[in-house]
Amino acid sequence: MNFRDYIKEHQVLFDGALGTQIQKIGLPLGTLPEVINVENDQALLEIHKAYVEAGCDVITTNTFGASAYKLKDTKYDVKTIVTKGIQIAKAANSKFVALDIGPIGQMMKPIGHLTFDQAYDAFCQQLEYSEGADLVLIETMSDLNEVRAAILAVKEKTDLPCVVSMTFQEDGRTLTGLSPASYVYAAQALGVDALGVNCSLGPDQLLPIVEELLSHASVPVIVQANAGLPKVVDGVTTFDIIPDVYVKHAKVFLDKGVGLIGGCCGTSPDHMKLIKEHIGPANQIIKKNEGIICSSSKMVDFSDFVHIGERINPTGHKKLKASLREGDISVAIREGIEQACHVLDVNVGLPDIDELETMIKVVDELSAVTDLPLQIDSSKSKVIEAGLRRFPGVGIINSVNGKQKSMDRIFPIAKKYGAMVVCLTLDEEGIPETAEQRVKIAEKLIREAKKYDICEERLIIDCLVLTVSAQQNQAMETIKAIEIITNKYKVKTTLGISNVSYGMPNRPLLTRTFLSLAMSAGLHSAILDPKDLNLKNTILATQVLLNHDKGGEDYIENLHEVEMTSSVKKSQTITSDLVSVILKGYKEETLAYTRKQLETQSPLDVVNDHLIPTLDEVGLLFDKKEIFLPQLIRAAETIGVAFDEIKSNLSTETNVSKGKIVMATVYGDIHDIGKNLVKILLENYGYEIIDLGKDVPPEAVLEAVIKDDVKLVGLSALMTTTVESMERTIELLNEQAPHAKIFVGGAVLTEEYAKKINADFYCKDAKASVEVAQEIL
Amino acid sequence: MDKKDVLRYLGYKNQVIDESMDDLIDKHMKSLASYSGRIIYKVFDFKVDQDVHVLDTVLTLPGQSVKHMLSQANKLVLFVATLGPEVDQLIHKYSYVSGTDMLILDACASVKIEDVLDQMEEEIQGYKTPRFSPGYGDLPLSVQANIISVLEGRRIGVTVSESSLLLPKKTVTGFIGLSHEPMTVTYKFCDDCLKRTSCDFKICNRE
Repeated sequence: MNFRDYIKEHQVLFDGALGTQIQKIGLPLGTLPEVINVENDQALLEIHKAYVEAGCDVITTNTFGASAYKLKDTKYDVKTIVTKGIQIAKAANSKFVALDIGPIGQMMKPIGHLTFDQAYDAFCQQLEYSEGADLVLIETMSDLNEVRAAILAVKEKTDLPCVVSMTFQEDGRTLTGLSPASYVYAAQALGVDALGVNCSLGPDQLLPIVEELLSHASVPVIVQANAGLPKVVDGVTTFDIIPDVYVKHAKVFLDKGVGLIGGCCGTSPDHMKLIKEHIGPANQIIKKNEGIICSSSKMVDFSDFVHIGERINPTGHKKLKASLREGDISVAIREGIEQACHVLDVNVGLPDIDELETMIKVVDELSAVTDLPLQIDSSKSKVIEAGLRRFPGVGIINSVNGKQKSMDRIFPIAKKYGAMVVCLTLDEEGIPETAEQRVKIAEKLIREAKKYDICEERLIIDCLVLTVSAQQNQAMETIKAIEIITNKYKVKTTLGISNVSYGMPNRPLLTRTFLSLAMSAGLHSAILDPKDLNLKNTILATQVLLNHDKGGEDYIENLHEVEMTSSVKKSQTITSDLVSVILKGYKEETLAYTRKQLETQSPLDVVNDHLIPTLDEVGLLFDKKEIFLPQLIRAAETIGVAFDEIKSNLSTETNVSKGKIVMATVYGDIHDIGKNLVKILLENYGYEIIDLGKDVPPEAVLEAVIKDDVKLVGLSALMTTTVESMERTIELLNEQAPHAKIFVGGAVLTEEYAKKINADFYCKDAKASVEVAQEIL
Repeated sequence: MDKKDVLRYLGYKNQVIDESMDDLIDKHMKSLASYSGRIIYKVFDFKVDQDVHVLDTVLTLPGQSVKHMLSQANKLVLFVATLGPEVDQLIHKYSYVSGTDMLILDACASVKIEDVLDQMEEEIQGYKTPRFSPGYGDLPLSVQANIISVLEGRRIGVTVSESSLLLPKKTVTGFIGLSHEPMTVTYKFCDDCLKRTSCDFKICNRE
């Protein structure tokens, strides 16, 4: 019987620790245990055999560390270690052999160096030699990004069953902060055959985590606990739960419904032998929770009204549009961080940019700096797929519609990534005028989705909003359609509400009133502007009136104070002392001051007569040590609002830029705090910074310099090991772009060293870089 | 966490700190309270020839600085400590919205990881040398990879990049010499540093 069928009916006993047993052979600490696949295969076979004799159904190959990244310091390649590993495991004659895949051993971007594609490729390389294995066991994982890359590799490169197991800490999360519930939904979305936990904790500490997994999982759950928490005795790590005690814990897991059980660090064939007696038929109560999305730490199940933030969308967002055109995603990311909502809609569609690449970059960064699930919004199915592939969690597709072509393209993607889908009720004929016709299209979408095994709970029907200024009679048709659909089906509903008020005065009023009507018809979610506090208050109020917010608790606690911004501005006194204002970090006063000057002076004059002299004065205070670094940076950031105001007053052709500077933290280095500070300062002195980020190869710096004919380059490196790559970058620049001057900075650099590697300037702090820029540009 | 240490990392030299800046520093010191850090440390025997060899492991610590540090010790403690990836993410997040916050939080995190190590030191019995890490003196950063594999740093999520950088960023590896008898060995961290003339911070000097 194959493994997939077997686990449907039987509880399964995996083997116990391999590492602990291998350690007993006496390898020096720090040796990669996989080398014994070649150097001592007999000893490994004995360990496997002991587990088979103890009654284990599954033997796990000794390939945990067989990624190319970990093997690079050994004599062996991936092929040798994996092939031998499977061969030896098979020789032990167990019912099943699991090809073991552990973490690659490098942190993924944006915190580490490893890209998603590199991780995926590394896993594919190991899977290339999977012949002979009956299943793949991805284990001891901490990072959802990495686990997803591994699962996708298994699904795309093999037909083998995929069991995934992650490692949780005592705080109930993985080392990267993943929660058990999010783990379940994210792994199931990709179609794993079983999921669970191993390592790090003993059975006691794992119990609550396992219970939580069982309360969400719709696939069998695996548990491989350590024999207790590790204790260091005389420099040796030990685990002290003996087989007689371990088996009692195992029995608890099995009784609760765990289907796959084995052991991790500190366990032995003796531990497994006792568990064997308790292995019986599968008894897990399978949960069918559908219609749930999540990030690595937040879950959204649509039981409360869901706010989907609309602001990452270049349509009607001048600043975002301009920044995306320049390849700068920081405005998009800031919008992601600053929207208080439940889900972020992500749309980066502009005709003249590479939408797919931009989507990938934005999704990667957003998932690192916010904890919200994403709704991938594009008219291109390729962009949607790329975004979902990278999003660590379960996302939403925006959108599919009733056109056959659209459904043929989008539903397979929704199926593959387990995503929910916004379904627009329009088809080849356009948007129907009546509610009934829109319901018909919704029904067609529901039917078609079923063909892909996508249940209706995962569909989010958008009954479409038309503008009342053009088609007034349509507003209530939308409401009616929502009512019919929510009464009849288990689908969710959504609306992009702002459309309704287009072309009317006081748009926000119309928009929020319409939303209130839609909510009373049963609307589950809306794509809206989370910065519109009046709108948010309307949602709170409507929830009270609909009797959803019991006792009005949410309303009382979270009602937003809406400022009368215009009247505040009028009463504000304009100060004349800009230096003291920016030193205190007062942004509003800085803005008021700037507006006042703009009444009488041209934007460029305001920059040159007010802003730059002010910054110079602040810089002088810093040089005289009258203020310290955080004060300097805050002053620079505060005056940034003045520059923003100036820019919005300029016609697009006029340029306030004092010159372009390329900046990068060099290849191999990811410490970019210093570079970021220099950037803030230079930007607010009016220089245009082309920030290439961190870990930047020399060629990329050169390319950026040549592309914009840039005269000044700033490089940073923190460590002695990465100063070498700074040297290489300088060498390349001096060779191929000799006109560009280079300034350098970083913790280990000195004036002398900077000279030695041929940098033109050494900057001991952020302020020094401003002086260099003033000299060169 | 001592605010004085945070200020030292920020290059503070008795300037006047206004209230809002003061609040900001307090806020970030507090926000790190929930990250207790993770540590692995183990005691090892070692033998000295040209280099220092940590017994029963793959680890060799080359150079004169290590020899000096261990000249009176008969065992050593290897350690790795980290604040974890979530602190890196938090600092990264501020790089998008506020450089001031980013800078202050980064300094707080640097102090925090030293605190974690101070606590570890208190747990360790016996007479101890000062902590010593790769990158000090002539101990190269390249030994970090072996320190991490000997201690199984992966168990607390620590990795080393190809350029010998530790990840997460707020991670420290190193060793402490141990003896049953008092040791007089000291190390002037600043005297041995390339930047001794240009550094404004002097944050490495510990008692």
